[in-house]
Amino acid sequence: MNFDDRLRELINEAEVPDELLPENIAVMLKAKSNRADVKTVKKNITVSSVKSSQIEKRTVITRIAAACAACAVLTAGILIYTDKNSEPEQIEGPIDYEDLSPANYEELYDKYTSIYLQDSDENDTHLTDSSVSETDKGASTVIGSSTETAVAEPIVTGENAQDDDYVLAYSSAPQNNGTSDADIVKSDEQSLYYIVGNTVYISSLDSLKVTAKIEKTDSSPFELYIKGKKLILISRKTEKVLESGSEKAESTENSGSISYNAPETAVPAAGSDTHSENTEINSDNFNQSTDNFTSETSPAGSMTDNKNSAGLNNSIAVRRTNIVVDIYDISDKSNPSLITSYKQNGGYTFSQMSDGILYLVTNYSNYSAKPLEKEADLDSYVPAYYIDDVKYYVKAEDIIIPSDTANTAYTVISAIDCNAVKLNPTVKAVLGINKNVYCSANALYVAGSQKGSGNKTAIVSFSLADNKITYNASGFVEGTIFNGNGMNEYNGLLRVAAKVNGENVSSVSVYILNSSLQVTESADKLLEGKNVTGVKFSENYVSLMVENEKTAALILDLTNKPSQAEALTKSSSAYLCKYDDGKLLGLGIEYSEEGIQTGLSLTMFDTESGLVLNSIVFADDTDNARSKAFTDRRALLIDSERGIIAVPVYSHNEFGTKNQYYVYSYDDSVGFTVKGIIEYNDIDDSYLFERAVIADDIFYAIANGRVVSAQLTDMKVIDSYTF
Amino acid sequence: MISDFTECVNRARQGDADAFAELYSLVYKELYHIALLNLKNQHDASDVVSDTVLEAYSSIKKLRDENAFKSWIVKILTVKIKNKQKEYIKNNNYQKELDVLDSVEQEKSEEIDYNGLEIMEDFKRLSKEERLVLSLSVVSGYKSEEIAGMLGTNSNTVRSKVARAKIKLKQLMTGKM
Repeated sequence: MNFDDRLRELINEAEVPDELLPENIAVMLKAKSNRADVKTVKKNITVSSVKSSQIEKRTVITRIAAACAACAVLTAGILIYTDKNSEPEQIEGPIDYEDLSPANYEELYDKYTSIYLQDSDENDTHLTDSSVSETDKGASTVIGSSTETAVAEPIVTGENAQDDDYVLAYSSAPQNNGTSDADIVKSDEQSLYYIVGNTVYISSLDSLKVTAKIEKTDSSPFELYIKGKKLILISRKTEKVLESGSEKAESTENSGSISYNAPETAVPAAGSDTHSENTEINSDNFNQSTDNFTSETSPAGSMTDNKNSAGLNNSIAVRRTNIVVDIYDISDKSNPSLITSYKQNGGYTFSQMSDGILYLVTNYSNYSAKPLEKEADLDSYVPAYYIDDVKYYVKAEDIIIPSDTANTAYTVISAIDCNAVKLNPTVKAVLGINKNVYCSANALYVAGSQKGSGNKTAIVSFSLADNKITYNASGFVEGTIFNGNGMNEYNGLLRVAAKVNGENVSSVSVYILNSSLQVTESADKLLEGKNVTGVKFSENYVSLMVENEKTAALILDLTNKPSQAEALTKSSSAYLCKYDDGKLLGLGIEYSEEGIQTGLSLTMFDTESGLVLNSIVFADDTDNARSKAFTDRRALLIDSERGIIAVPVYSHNEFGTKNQYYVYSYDDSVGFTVKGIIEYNDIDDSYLFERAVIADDIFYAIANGRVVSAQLTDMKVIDSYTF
Repeated sequence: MISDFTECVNRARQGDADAFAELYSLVYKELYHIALLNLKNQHDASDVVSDTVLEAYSSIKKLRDENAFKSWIVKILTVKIKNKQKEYIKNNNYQKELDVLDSVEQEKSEEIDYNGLEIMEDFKRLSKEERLVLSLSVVSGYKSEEIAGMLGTNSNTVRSKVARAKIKLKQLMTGKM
């Protein structure tokens, strides 16, 4: 392999984000076209707007402007809050669950096909084009054939496709709710565990020396958990599946064996006699892909000829992404051993662990450019999972199909007891609503748009307990829920922030829903005309971020207590995190009256009184200091038991990158006190600190390729290790 | 592989989003990878590609030669990338700082598996001109003359920049491979 090829191979490792996949681009373009049409028709309709929410563009006095805007909009938001004692306002009736789950795969097939056809009718008239003959309809797909246009599966990728500006901030990671989230770094009393590239390193906390490595050759690890003597590693694995006509065969390189020894809750996969030995793969052809699916046609299957070199008609190679959960025994830190493996169809949406139960959510779409043929096998329309390479399909009755489901993409949800001797996961799936997921300690919410619902979002909730996932309720809210952080549960109530498209301008609505997913309260028409890019719920508050403004544009008090809200809006803190039961910690950027950044700030609030307990500005000697904590909350270390807060900070100067961890202690009587700063100067951003952990009064700062340990008492560096 | 773009381009000109997506599906990986190699992060790369798509979709009527779709949209992308790089300079001199790194001799790191993420980092150590020509050359396979046409420079300059960038990148990679 020459240098160019090697370079190309490396570059191609970078996965294209979902929103840029062709099918999502098509949806986005259609959505924009539709909106343009609507605006043209309705341009004469006056929109009733909240006067005070029309906040002026950011002035040079950024902080003051933001605070004023927040107060103004806050007032408006509270004014239009519905009375808590009034009858619950339900926008739409709940979905009747009895009608949702098919009794068997035949019913699922009918429903799936029906949804596909309806969707295709609405989204692509080419499907019914005369160029697609009856004989074509029965054949498997050769994408890129001149005889048809590939029908883009309208996968709603985090609702981006419906967003005016096609921009949403924040990851889909759930917010802190007391459960354990996966991370790239974990620790226990003896060791640090961290992922670099395709390897998990286990380092002794004493010496920082690597005691063991887990190298994944066939998958890409990206998150891990430590639970007692077990390491739970989550990896992404792309596998090639060959399809020929109605047959499909998983390539031997990665597929597991197939067994009929299925758990009671699952359906075993079909026999393994469908392996195709001769089908050649060629990736040069036109291909369509989703997050978890890519299809490649045979070499000659381009414009006129659908036969490949092996002589098979319409043979297709598809690549599917699966998420793998490997559970290792780490009793011996120098020799971790694999106990068991679980694999689930789909791209990663999120995971969470609670009491040793891992909840894994993936989004799965088996894209097809044509309707399923009658003899289609289960792989064509049923998500599957694997326990130690034994394949099972999600049972038909465990698949929920909400009314007016818009597409054939699945959200697949599993509960895996990592303590079990033998895995027996509960696996459920929701058809047509995918990607927007929120999980609290006891409940999981899946949201997505639905056909004919206009600017509404459907929400389905499940209760989580004892390795079981049980359907709970369904409902709707007006608007498109913000990705990831747009949902939050607090005191048993779901709070939702959604972007609502008006006739001329969009605005934000915040809803509170009860356990039946009925809207009981709402604040509407917030931040009209502003491009709201981020949402953050923290206990009784929600803060909304606006594009190009570093401070929160609006912090809304969900308890409707103006005094608290007023106090909070005086701060420029943009990101609020729970510190302990009575306090919220805010991390913000400070600006001068001229709009020049003067540093970063930490502010501690009393949640009861709403008062600022203490505030400190730091990194004020650094131009344009930034923190990874602004984009990944896990980079901010909050240890309220020890009274320690650590913030990673980086900045660029003429020598390269200044890379720091600011470590503060916090005490109610003295406020913030700097304990020390760990600082490295690097030539570039390769070693930016991303996480910090504390173990045995030693502070560990971890970057991609570097670990630094320091005494917590004085923050003197003990050791550092670069790998 | 679409060999004749005329039909798709014509449909896209009439506002057929699927037709445009079909064309786009041929180049989207290249577009994203070029953007990623030339910008600070994935978000910016994604934004720039989205902007490119919107601009291309709205102005595809201006495309005279249907079979030049690929180079046409790549050219739009390069303009967007340059604009984004200007924003960097305006905002925090990021680009300037990166360019300063050109002269910094790279440290030899310890033996480590080389992966796609690292290539992105090493790309950042090239000058912005080197990054652009090398990404167009390697990712899209354009010849020096074609790149010169897109960037409004001469092919000899492109050739020498590509060669210089490859040598530099090889040195960076050799230190790690």
